Amino acid sequence: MTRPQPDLDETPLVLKQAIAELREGSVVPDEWRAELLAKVPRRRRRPAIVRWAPIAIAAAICLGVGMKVGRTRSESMVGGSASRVRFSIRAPLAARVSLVGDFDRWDPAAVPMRRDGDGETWTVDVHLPPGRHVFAYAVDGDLKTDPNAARAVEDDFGVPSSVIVVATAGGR
Amino acid sequence: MSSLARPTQLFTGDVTGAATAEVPLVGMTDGALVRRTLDGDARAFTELVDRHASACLRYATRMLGERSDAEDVAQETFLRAFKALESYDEALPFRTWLFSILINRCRTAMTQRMRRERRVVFDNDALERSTVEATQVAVELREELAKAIAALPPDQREAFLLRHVEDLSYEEIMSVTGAGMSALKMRVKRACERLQQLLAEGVRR
Amino acid sequence: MRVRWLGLICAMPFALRAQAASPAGAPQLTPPLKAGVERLADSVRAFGLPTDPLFAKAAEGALKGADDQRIMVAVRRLVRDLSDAKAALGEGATADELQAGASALHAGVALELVARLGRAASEGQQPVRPVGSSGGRGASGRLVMPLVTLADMVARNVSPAAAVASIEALVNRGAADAQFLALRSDVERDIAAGERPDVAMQRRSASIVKRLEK
Repeated sequence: MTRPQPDLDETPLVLKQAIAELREGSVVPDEWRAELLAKVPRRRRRPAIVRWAPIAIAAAICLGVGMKVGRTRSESMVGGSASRVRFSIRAPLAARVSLVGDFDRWDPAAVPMRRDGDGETWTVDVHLPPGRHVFAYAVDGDLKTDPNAARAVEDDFGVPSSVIVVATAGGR
Repeated sequence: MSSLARPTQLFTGDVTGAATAEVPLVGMTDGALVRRTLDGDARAFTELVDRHASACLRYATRMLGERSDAEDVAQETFLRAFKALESYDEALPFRTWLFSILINRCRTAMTQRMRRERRVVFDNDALERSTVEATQVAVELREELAKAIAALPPDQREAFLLRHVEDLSYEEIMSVTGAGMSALKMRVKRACERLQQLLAEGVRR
Repeated sequence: MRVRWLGLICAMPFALRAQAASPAGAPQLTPPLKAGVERLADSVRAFGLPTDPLFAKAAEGALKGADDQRIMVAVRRLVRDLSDAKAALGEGATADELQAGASALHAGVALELVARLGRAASEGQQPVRPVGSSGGRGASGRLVMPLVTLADMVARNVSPAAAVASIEALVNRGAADAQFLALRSDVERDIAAGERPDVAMQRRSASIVKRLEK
């Protein structure tokens, strides 16, 4: 003879009162409702059933195609093609200048810059993918920021860096 | 013979659907409303929202403990439901289907919130412990009851709310959460015992 | 020292990355530091976060002469910022978006505001199957420019709430990257000329909004 199994569902009185309170419906705020309904995209009609007149079907399909469902999204550059960026710094007395940053693991030997014809400006062109890049110039071993570029917000080491942002090709 | 009343509000749906503007929606089943929505009747979706918003907000508020999070999650749920309406199968009650979306949204919101509050995602022990800590609770219920609910582990809270507050059958809960029958019953039982205990002695934070 | 910086030039269609540093030439990390960063990178990878930024941060610290402890602190902070960015922006955020989000958080923007910007960009995403589905963002990388702009503006003392409100308005209207860039430089110039940061931000973004609404 098996023992009677306890009813796993029995709810004592204390709990019944709590449950009654929990079951009270939640007030639906007007602004919440209005905001939600404003966000609902316009739905394209499903293709009409055959019993409609041919002209009506054509009209329905044309209108369906013309309506946008949801906000139009522009194409973004998936994968992001690199953009050519020119870095320049004026350092007439320097012997060696290179570009360092997160794109070359801060290696002073990776991207040396070349002295221009005027003898005072150092330049290099680099292909950088879209996004945010932190960098600085290594001028004879000293790190210099680029006064014409934004200062990087991160300052973990007490030595500032610059930031450039490369837009996605085509701008959108 | 039915006389079709003129709608008192401006019809905001598909302009080509002149015939759809005049039918009253109040007596329609949820399934019929879904079909009308798919056909382009914007009012039909509004009616669905009005029928189920209160329950969604109620569940989300109890589950998340935070009213503003609940409102966000409930909105997201309806928007996702709208976009997925074509996949709704009328064999399932609409509210149950809707709740399957809501439950997942709540679970995602809770995971995100746990990470936010703990800030150390990689400490697995901390992550485990944080599931039983009571989080900030907005006062919509009596505070003790709200705290007691919030003190339940999420899986027990979820099972308890679905069974005893939202009145889903165990079969329905199984289908929307993927949990097995005996696991579910055990969670509900433990939740009941714990709640009883917490309410009796007052919740200690 | 006068510096001439020519900004970005029109895009080249091929996808070349900047030359990665050869391991031999990169600033050297001490063995314990290297091991520590690699351990952290392993955990980070398991959580779907990018690992390159960790090594870049460590290399930056080494080049700048910081000691191991200071570098480790910076790398850990970056990990926290990246994981917070992921919580704010969701599973579908790209590595670039996470880094941009981390910089915004680093600048002092509250998590909720970063998340709000993320939500603004995710309107109109693809429909998702209800049961067992995970959240996700549709297009890749759309948030990088808005988030970077946000970080920069806050770093220039625009209040986070004002910055997010302005940037959100632009995101909602599909502003192009070039417009965010222009916004950044215009606001910087205005602030340098003495205008109050919040005022400059609102004025410049309002004029872009007006143009987008035409």
